[in-house]
This record gives sequence, structure tokens and C-alpha cells, in this order.
Amino acid sequence: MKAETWKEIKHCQNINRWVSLLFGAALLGTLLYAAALHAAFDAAEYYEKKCSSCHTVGGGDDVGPDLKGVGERRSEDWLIKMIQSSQSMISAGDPVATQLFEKFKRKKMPDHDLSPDEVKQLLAFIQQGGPVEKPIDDKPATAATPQDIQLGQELFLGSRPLANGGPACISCHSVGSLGPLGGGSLALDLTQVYSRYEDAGLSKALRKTGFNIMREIYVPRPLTGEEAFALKAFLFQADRQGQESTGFQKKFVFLGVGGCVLFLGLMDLSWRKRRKKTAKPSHGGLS
Amino acid sequence: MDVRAQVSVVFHLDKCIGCHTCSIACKNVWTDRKGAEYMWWNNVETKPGTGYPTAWENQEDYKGGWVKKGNSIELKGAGKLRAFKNIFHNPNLPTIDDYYEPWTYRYEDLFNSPEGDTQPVARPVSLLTGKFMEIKAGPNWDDDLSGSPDYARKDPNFKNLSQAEQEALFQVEKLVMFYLPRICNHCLNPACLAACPSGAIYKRGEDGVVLINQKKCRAWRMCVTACPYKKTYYNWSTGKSEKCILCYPRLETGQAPACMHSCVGRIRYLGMMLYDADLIHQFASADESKLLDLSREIILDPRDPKVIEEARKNGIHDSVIEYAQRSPVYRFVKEWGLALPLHPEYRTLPMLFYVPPLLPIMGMSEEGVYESLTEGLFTDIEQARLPIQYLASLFTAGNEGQIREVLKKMMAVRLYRREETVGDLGAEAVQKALKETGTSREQAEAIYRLTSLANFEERFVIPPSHREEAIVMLDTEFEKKGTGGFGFRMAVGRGL
Amino acid sequence: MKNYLLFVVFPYVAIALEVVVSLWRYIFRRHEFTSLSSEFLESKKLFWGSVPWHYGILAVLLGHLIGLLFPREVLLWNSVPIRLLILEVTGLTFGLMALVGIVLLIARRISDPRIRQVTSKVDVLVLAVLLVQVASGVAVAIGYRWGSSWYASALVPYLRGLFTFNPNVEFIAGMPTLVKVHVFTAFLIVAILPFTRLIHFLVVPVSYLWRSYQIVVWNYDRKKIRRASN
Repeated sequence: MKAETWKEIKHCQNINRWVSLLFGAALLGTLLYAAALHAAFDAAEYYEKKCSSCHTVGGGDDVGPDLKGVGERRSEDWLIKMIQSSQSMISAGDPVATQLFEKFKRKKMPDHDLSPDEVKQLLAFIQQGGPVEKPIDDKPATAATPQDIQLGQELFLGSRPLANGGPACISCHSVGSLGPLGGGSLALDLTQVYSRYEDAGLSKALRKTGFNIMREIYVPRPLTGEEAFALKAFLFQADRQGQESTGFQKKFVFLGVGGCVLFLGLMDLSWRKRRKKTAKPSHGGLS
Repeated sequence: MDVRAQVSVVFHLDKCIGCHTCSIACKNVWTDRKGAEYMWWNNVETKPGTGYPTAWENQEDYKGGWVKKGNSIELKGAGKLRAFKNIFHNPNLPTIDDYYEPWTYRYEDLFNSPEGDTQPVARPVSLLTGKFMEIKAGPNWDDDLSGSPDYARKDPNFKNLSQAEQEALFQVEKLVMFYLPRICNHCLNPACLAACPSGAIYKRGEDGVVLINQKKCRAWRMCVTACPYKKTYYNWSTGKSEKCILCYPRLETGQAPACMHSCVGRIRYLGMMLYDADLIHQFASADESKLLDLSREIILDPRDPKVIEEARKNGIHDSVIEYAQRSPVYRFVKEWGLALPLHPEYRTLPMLFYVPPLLPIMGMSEEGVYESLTEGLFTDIEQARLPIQYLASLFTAGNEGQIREVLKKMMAVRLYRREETVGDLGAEAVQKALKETGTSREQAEAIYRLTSLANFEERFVIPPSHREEAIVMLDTEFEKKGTGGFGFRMAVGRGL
Repeated sequence: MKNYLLFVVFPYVAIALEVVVSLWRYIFRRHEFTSLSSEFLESKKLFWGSVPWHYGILAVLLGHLIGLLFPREVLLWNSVPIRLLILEVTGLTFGLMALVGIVLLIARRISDPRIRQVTSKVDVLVLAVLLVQVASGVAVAIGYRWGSSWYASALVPYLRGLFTFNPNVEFIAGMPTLVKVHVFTAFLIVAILPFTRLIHFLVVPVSYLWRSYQIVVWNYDRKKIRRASN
């Protein structure tokens, strides 16, 4: 091979080596960056984010049980398993877990992606008395006026925007009395949420919005007291009316399939002059 | 005036013997590869016939070329908005079945088969799927009028012929055919180029060769539809379009393209021509009746001082101008008006010209007795076996008068030569024929010499390509001296 | 931690791969940038696969992009039920078109012997991943209704976090598995894109719209010569 060709190949190899290096560096960089983002575990912050909306420490039972003295009531091993995945405990037939699940109206505690060590830190935090709780004292829903309910409905539907810019509830939730389309079905149907959470629990849920995604959305953009009350009132009324959410699913799929068929038809029409056979006589062409 | 140079070509159909040597030379050099087996950048088809791909002239099916719209033109089956609408599925694309399924044979079976009662057979194997196949079509399936009822009778050029005229063509006694070799026309207004969404196709300014940049081609397939001559081919294996490159690596080293070099009948002529690029769009948009005249008019006289001056302004090398003055193509096309473009009505301004076949009737066999038809040796061209209208449909967008002019001139040259060599026609008759076609004796002699006697150097007048000077124009030669080599894109040098 | 790997680390790796490998391929292996169309070998079935697939998926991608760029506006639009219905049915229509298209394309690749010849292992991977992606997308649209709304309010913040280098995995951690599959496969597609024929997506020939029809290339600097002689 000619010397120049070799030189050229060598040159390309050099470039390839640099590119691979660059590529490797980029990969390593992203990994390191990602690792740095995954910050150290902070029990207090974790409790505030993940536990406080359903539990109290010494404030009595809420959506879930009061956690005061839980370290004495249950073994550490049991607690680790329960916190990591309550539903697997229940399906494994753990009597205590099942009993608690029934007692608290079969509300599922979400799984927590924590290592045993992190659970221990969390338990230590609870042992020390937990967070400083600010009591929420909203009026009960029974005191709501029709105006409150109307306001709650508008907020729920999004026809009136939330003061702090949070998205409307209907994006993810549905409620029985919403009309033909209903709301989102990503999250729980809220028709009976009032009876399940009861007045105080619902207030707390609305004000602290503690569930995974909701917390991320609403902690920076919380509901105002007035909004929370109006929504509670709306949900209270929905609960009393007790209508089932309308199943619009079938009609929706039907419309989608219809649209799809319509477009395929338009496509066929729009390209009706496309070549459909070859010109070869042996393939039926040239007739 | 924007003078550019163009390598153009003349095929003299009266001399083509249909041997396909050109096709084989091209195939061996360029398209003997996976995905390109079905491609014949050079092919020879029998006329009347449907050609390759089948019925390529039927633009109602393939939608190739340009169509006139108002004072301008647009692509018939491609174009800007249509390209995006059709980019996911080109509704006018020919498929491989319009060409043929390429195959090879299991030759080794001839040698390796066990001994038996029957001769071993090399069965055909598809080059697409690798499976045994039954051959149903080939690149020359209708060669020499084979399968006429299926093929030749469906020739799209029959559209202006009456049923009786068509029938007459297929009388055994009158059967007529000629060969039409085709390569890329390296058009002045290429439709394939205009249709390419990625801008991969380009025309070389220095010699007009139309090429597809394999690094830029993205398989959007619009060029295959847009070329009315179906001379861009899609390589199904590499996912790139390919076409005749006019053997530019040979041209640049002063050699004739492989198909032309190998031409047994010596029908091919290649030379430089100068043309005015400013007129392309205007001429391509003209009325159909004017297209032939305009496609001659766009070619400039290389001896005109004004043209030479403008050519120099565009950086055209003096040697190119000089070679253009000696171009055999210029003489056939411009000076003598004998060579015609194929299907000028496609409006691509093709730069490959054909001298139409004369095909005189010499005699007729009636009830087993051969009889000469006329008193004279050569018949009137009106009695040519091939209807003038058929040739007109191929070469003059249907204008019979222009075909007649060419044929009469060719006939006059024959009469002139008969008189020179045999002397049995009478000087008066020859003089009349020459005068009728406006041909001087010197011109007739020149036509005869270039047609019949021209040697290699006269047929292929290839100027030096001056690529070394092209590099000097972009860079200083002192910079190039002492570097690893020449190269526009990937210069050799030390890495990062 | 699993969520973190899948939905924060992996997307960054995917995007890094996308950018670096595409550029590398474009600079050193530009010849490989092609759509590898197989229409030349089989055209009839391709029409019913390729056209609905491409139009469907492009419309759906556009919808996702609009949601990503203008989530508030989408929610505002959706606050009137009939408008929500129009948006959702349109989205589902195009989603179903893409689904029909990809299924037909896969069927064509399997059934046609000529097309099988031009099918590589990578093509199989691409088709499988795209099928999972479109099928999970349609399933999410039907199963977790009014995706346009909750996408704008609950998933867009996650994506925006990624793009502003402030990722928040919590948005995705609480999502149903089907949604997680859809999001993960999306980044998987981004990751494998530069290694596959999908790169044709990066070289959509938009410049064709404004370029002049004819292109002439000179092997010398003609303009310089013209200037010098005038």
C-alpha cells in the first residue's frame, strides 16, 4: 500500500480514537452528574414529602395510623418490609398488615424505594418525635354554601384557574357528576373520596397534597385555604350525590377508530392514482 | 450569456447492429454489484418495443419529466410540495418488476452433480432472494421483436398511428425494427436533479456530467420517478440511487466512456459543446413545437468570438474551446442538423442526440418473388417501412417535417456517394437532391467521412480535464507542494 | 434508585448517545445516512404501512412537542369539554394510524421474501421497539384517559426538568407501569436512533423547499474567475 494511503488511514484512526475518548468522557460525565443529583438521604425531608400527608406522630390516626411509638409496637424488621412494600406484606398474608389495611378502609400505602438503612434513619426520626405539625383547621364541608360548591366545581374543571398556578384536578381525576367526558383516569376517581378520607383527612390531603406526583406539582404551587375548602365542598357534594363516573372509554375508542378509518379512506382517495401494477405483461401490465 | 461546457454524445442509429457490447462493457465496469444487478446504465432496446424498464415512455404511468404550466414548467410526478407529500411512499415509483428480477445460474451444478441418466442443468437463482426462480422477464425480453403481441404492439410511440398503420408494421413481409441504445442524456435541465429533495444530484459545471453524490443521497426515490428516460436507478441494497456517470474517470484521463470505446458498430461520437445556461429555463418552457429548434439553438457556436470571450470569463479553458470547435457532435447536431434529441417533449434538454435510421424499402417479396420496388436504387423516404410519424414521436415531439428533413439529407448523401463511387445516377439527380436539402458537396463529403470512415480520434474528441489547474485555482500550488497529496475534501494531514 | 437509573440516568445517556453517535456517523460515515427505502422491491403493501405510520407518528410527535412547549395552553384548551374531546380523538386517531402502520410494516417484513432479504437484525430491533412504543402509547391514551391533560400537568414537568438539567424523578415514580414503559421506550428509541436506519429522521430534506431546482458544481472557483475578468 502506498505510504500516503497509510497516512490517511492513520489519520482517520487518530480521529476515531479522539471521538471514542470524547464519547467515553461524555458518558462518564452524565453518569457522575446523575449520581451527584441523587443527593444524600434526609429523613426529615423524606418524612415531610412522603409520610406527613397520611400520618401524624402523636396527632391521632389520619389517613393512616398515628406513628407515635411505632418503633415499640412493631419489630424493626417488620417495619422495614412494611414501608418498602405494604401491598406485598398484605398479599403475603401478614396478619397485622392485613388488619391495618382493613382498618384504614383499604387505602394502599405506596411503596417506598428505600434501603433498610434509610428506613432505620426514618424510624429514628419518628422516634425523636417527628416533625413539628401545624394543625389545619378548615371548616367542615357541611358548612359550605352553594357558591362554595360552585366555586369548587369551577376549580376542579379548570374553568377557573388555581391562584398559584397549579393545574386543574380534572387533568388526572374524575368525579361522578362531571358530565359525559368525565375527568382523567390517571389517578383515583374522587367520587367517594370524601367518605373515605373524612372531612379532616381530605382537608389535609388537599392542603398538603402528599401523593408522589401531586406533591411535586402542588408543593411549589399550593392551593389556597379558600380553594381547598371549595374543592372539599365540591367533593362532599359529589360524594352525597354518589353518581358513578360515566364510562366514556368505549365511545372514545370508537371515535378514535372511526377517525383512523376515515383517514385511511382519505389516504386511499388522495393517492388513488398510485401505480397499482407493474408494466410487465407477465405481471398483468400493459393491458 | 453564461457559457458552460457540456460533454455531449451522438448515437448514429443507422450503424447500430444491436450487439449489446456497450451494455456488457458498462455492466462489467460499473454495475456488477449487489443491488445493481438489474441496472443497465447503458441498454439497447428494440424499436418498436416497450424498452427497459417496460414502457418507460408511458409518462401517464411513470410520470417522468417536466410539463409546461403557463410560462414555466413543473415536474410531472415530483417537485417541492409533492416530494413531501409523497416522501413516505412514492406513488409513481417503478418497482423492480417493471425492470426484471435479476438472476444468476447455479453453474457449479454442471460440474458437481452426481452421475445420472440426465444432463445436469444450471437452474436460475434469483439475485434478490437467493431462491430458485422461473425467469419471466429480462432486460431485453423483447429484443428483436420477440414477444411482439405483448410488447412491441404496446409501444407508447404508436399513439398517433392509425390502427391500420400499426397492423401494417407487423405484417411478416414488412416487419421492421431498429435498435435504440440509451444511456443517461446528461440533460441541461435534468428532472432527476430538480426532483432530488436532498440535493444529492448535481451537474458538473466544467463538463456537464450529471452525478449523484452517494454521501448525500437519502433514498427519497424522487429522481427515479422524475427522470423521464428512467436512467436513474435505485440500488435496493445500499439504499442509494445510481446512474450513468459518463465514465468521468475515463473522460478525465482522455479516454472514451466504456460503452463508446467498445462500440462495435462505431455508432458513438463524443465531443464538447458550449451552451448558454441563461436560456435553459426559457427554452425548456417553450411551446412543444419549438422545443427541437430551441434545443439546437441553446448550443453556441464555439468559433464565435463573443462566445469565446464569454466562455473565458467563466473559466472555460482554451483547450476546451478548441476541442469544442473540433467536436463531431457539434457538426452532427448544429452544422448538419442530422442528430436529434430523444423525446424533446420531456423538456429536460437532453444532450445525447440520435441520427435517425433511414430504413429504406429495397424491395418486397410477393408470392415468393422478390421484386425491386422502384426504378432507382433508393426509394423515396416516404416509402420507408417505418412510418415517419413513428420516428417523429421519438425524436421531434411529433413533427414529421423535421424528421423528413433529416432523412432527405441522409438520402442525399447516399445518392452523392453512389454517384461518386458507381456513377450510375447522373450528376443532375444528385445535384437536385443536394440542393433540395441545402447540402453542399463538401458538406456531403464531410458527412460521409464522419459517418463511415471516422477513426477513434475523430469520434472521441476529449479535451484535457485540467483538474490540476482546477486545484491551482482554489489553492496556491506552493501550498500543495510538500503536502501528502491532492484532495478537495479529506486532505491528508496530521490528526488532532 | 431503580427509577432514578431508568428515568434520569438513562435519558441522559440516551441523549448523549444520540448526539455523539449521530455526529460521529454524520462526519465519518455520512454515506450511511439513508432511509433504506424498500419501496423499490415492494410497493403495494408499503403504501398501507408507510403512509399511515409516518403521518400518524409525525402528528403524534408534534402533539407531544406542543404539550412539552406549551403545557398551560394545552390545559387551557382542554378546559372546555368539546375541545378536550377534539384534541383527544385527534390524538387517538393518529396514534391508531401509527399502530396500524407499524403492524402492517412488520407483517410486510415478515411475509415478503424480497423484503426479508433487506431486513437486518437492527431493523427487527427497531420495529419491535417502535411497536412497543406505539402500542403502549395507544394503551395509555385509552386506559388512562385524557392523557393530553395529565401529560401537560404531570409528565411535562419531568421532561422539562430533564432538559433544564434539574431532573425530578418523583413525577415519573408514581406513574402507572404502562406510562413508565412508554417513557422508557421513548428514551430507548432516542438511544438506538443513531445506530439504526432511523437516522433518516435527522436528515429530513427541508432545504429542498427553498433551494433552486438546478444545482451546478464547479471544480474551480468560477465566481472568482468571473469577477477577475469583469
